[in-house]
Amino acid sequence: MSQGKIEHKEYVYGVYSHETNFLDAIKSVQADGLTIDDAYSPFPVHGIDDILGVKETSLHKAGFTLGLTGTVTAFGVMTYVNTMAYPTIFGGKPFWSLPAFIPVMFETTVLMAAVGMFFVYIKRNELFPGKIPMIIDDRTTDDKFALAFSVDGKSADEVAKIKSALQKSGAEEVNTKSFE
Amino acid sequence: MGHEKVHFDLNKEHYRFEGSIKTMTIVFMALGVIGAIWAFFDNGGWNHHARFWSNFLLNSYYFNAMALTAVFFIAAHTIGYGGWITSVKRIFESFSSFIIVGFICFIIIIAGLWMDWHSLYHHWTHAPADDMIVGDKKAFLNKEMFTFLSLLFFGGWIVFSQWFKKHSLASDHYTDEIAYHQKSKYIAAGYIVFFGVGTSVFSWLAVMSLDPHWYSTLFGWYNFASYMCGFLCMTILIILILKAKGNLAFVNDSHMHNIVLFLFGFSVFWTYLWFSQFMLIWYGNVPEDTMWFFKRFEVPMFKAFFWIAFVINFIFPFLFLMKRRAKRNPWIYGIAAVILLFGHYLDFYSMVMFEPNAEPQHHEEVKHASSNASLKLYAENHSSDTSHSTPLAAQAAKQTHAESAHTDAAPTHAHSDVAASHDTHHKPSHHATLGLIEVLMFIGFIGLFLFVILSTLSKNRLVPLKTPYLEESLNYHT
Repeated sequence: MSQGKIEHKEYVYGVYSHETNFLDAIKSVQADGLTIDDAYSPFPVHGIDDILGVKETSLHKAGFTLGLTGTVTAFGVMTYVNTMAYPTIFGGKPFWSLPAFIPVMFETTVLMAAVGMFFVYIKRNELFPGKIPMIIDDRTTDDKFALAFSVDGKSADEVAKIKSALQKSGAEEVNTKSFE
Repeated sequence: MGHEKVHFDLNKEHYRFEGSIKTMTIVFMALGVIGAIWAFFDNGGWNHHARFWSNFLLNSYYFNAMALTAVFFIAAHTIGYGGWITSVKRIFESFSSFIIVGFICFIIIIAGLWMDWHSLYHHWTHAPADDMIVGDKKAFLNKEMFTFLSLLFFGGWIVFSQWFKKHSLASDHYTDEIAYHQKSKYIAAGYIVFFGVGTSVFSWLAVMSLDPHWYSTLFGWYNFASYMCGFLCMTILIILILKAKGNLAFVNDSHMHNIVLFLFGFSVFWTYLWFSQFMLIWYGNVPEDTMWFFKRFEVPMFKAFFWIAFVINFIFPFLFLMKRRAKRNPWIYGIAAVILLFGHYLDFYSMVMFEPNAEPQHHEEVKHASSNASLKLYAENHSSDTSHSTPLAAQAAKQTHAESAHTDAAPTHAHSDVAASHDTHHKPSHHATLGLIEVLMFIGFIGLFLFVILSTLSKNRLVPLKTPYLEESLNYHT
């Protein structure tokens, strides 16, 4: 559920143990005029994207572009190889015979789109090997939900306001966490 | 957005088939009848009412296939634990009523076969004695087999689909709903096998045998892709009709997303088979196989349809339905459903309409100009077989050898070999058109289909209340 890079260091977060409480809490803190920096959940929660106002992913655009790149690449390579580099007669067909290229174009499209999207996804979500994930509370990987607010450069008043909003929303605990 | 509670009362979900929709279906049917009568007397100067019968076969085949696929869709979701389908399951069940109408249509075609009312299958019913290709297929392509297999398949389809429908309707009163549900898994598995074999073999009998010299091992599977798309388009249209009347409030965006996603996916699947069938034949370059495409490409209209079908059935849905928003906007998927319904009609049109509307060839007088080349090759392949070493075979084999020496020297395009190989080649004239008659008969069948489905739907509650997956389906969210 992690969205975007975490650049801040000091966080205040509330912990919840039920999915429905969690969704209500998000609405509650939003009603108090606060902007949520991140929401942690052990599993995908239905409808949370709409409530958090998360933008629709643009991964499919990457997929389409990469797929198109694959199609064009395969078409170019097949054309070059069969007409210029090494023209050979196969089964009495013309050198440039499009139907024979299509399976190759199709496979390359799928390969480029799938592998490319894999790397785009890994890069975008910073999930590559060796990366130490910034988990605000280890229990969010098991059975707890958390709402995190960055408190860097915020006055004591603002922090107190966030804490009281979290209390009001039904958080079981309100903690702070800082990342090095 | 997706989380606003929609209020509905499942007990009150009844559809009333009345008003403008009912009038519309009746007007459509009346237009269809006018089209049929017009087609029947529009002989184009030759016999056996080919235009009427070919249209009749095309539409009964297409619409009946949609009904069969709806039952397949239920069966596949039953054994695959597909719960989301429950909210629209009654619509699929109502499709099965049309199988009986399709059966009646095919009884008329079978009766016509015996009574000589039409010449749809005359290539194998009146094949000349020296036509060895048809001769070898005699065990399969004969009137008795056609009748027997059609009755067998339709019998099975009707029994299976009625079982699903009957038990689903009765399940609201069952005390042991789970036991019924377990049993339905076995029935569903049985139907899937029966459907797979049945539709495949039936497509050979009803459509592929229009040209008995040709065969494609992909044909049944390729047809299935079109069935699926046609059926999903029809489902979308029926859901939109019901929603316009204020029913089906519990069918949410996510359900529609799934259905349109299937339509998107099967459009790609259709293209895969459309291309595979063409490419294998193109690559293999066996005259026996290429003839089917070759003679279609000779007629500008059929050549155009080949490409128009590709554009409508692949490029259009691929670009138009790809986005998530498109799968959730009734205007977008409604328009796509109408266009794709016609696109797959065009696909079947080029399969069915060519042979029956080609210039009639009486085998006793005119030799099959189109099959000469394939006959020669066939004779060559079988000349070692003692049962076929007729003088014709030997002669044809000799001739083919002489020609193949010539063609080997200069590899040309696939089809020009065939064109050059017989002297009597001339462009056959065609009577197939996509005119008002075709449109009227297509509209007539749409009207008939909607009439049957909507009147079936109006008889029962629109949602099964005791299905174990009901809650899952009502809360479905993607």
